[in-house]
Amino acid sequence: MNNDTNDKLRAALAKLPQDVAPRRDLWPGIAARIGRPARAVVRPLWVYGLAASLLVGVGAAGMWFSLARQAGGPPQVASFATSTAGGGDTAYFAARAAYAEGSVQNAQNLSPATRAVILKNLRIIEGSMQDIQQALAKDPNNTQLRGLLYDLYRNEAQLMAATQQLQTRNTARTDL
Amino acid sequence: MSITPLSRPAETAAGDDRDLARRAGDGDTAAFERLYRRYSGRVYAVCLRLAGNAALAEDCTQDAFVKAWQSLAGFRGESSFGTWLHRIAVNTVLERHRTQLRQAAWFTLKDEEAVNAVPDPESGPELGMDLEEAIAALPPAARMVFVLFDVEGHSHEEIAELTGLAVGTCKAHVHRARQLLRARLES
Repeated sequence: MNNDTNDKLRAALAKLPQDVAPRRDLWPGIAARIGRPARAVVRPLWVYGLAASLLVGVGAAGMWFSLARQAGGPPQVASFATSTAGGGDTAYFAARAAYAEGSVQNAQNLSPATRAVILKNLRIIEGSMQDIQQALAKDPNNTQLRGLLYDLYRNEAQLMAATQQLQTRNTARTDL
Repeated sequence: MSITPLSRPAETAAGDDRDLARRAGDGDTAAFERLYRRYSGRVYAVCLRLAGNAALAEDCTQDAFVKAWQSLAGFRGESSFGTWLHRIAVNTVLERHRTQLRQAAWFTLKDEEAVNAVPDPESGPELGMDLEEAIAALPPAARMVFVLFDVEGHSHEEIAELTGLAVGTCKAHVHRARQLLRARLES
């Protein structure tokens, strides 16, 4: 190891660039994680609600169809004690929650324990949604709350999809 | 601290950074994106040299910016935004390497196994590129301590605090890393 090599190493280190461009734009991933879409494209809340409702509706319809086929008629949707006194948004959320809960209540191929766990989780999600809705009513530009609400929409849809899968699987077994 | 902050383009005023950080702290993602555009190259360079591979460096860069976003309320502007972000980026990479750093605490100068890690000297066409590759090929703990000391300008005491290693161990890692790099440059 001689001084010339030391100098070469020092000189090479001094020339290392301070900036290195990532191979791809990392901002979309960051934007998604901090609660907003990339490039600040903010869709109105009802768009996400509609998409989630569609997913929930498809899941519930699947269960309803399989039940109706078994029982020879449409199942009765149980009532869901949710206040609808808070105006249009509250009524919309309550109606959707009632539809989802009724679908689970009538999923007769689920064991009582499974149904209880699903309903418990569904109520936690719906309760959290209501809390966030109320907070958003006071602070409509709060991006963190909006991000949380979007996450809950996804959770609800995933729960309903998983419930439908369980129901379908159990129905298939009964048919054997 | 004597660290090398993530420097900003000359035309960028520190007040501009603070203003953007304040707006971002209030939830303005457009302001935060401007900070990202300004500092992503610096943050990625630090992460890349510490982590030694591009995929991990990308993950760490994203994690660092997300952590910065979540911590903006704690940014008081006492140091520059670049210095603050630099520390977050370094800690993010080091957190991913805690296990390797714990193992590195028992390193001694007699540990020569890493000499085999020196890449083929014929492979690099340019010294700069060659050096980046050689740094990336260093054993993880030696690479991180070397980058923090010789590239980023931290003191051994600061590196010891960041990594949890003893000061003497940090010095030993820098010594070993320089040996490996010189061996490559000489060949």
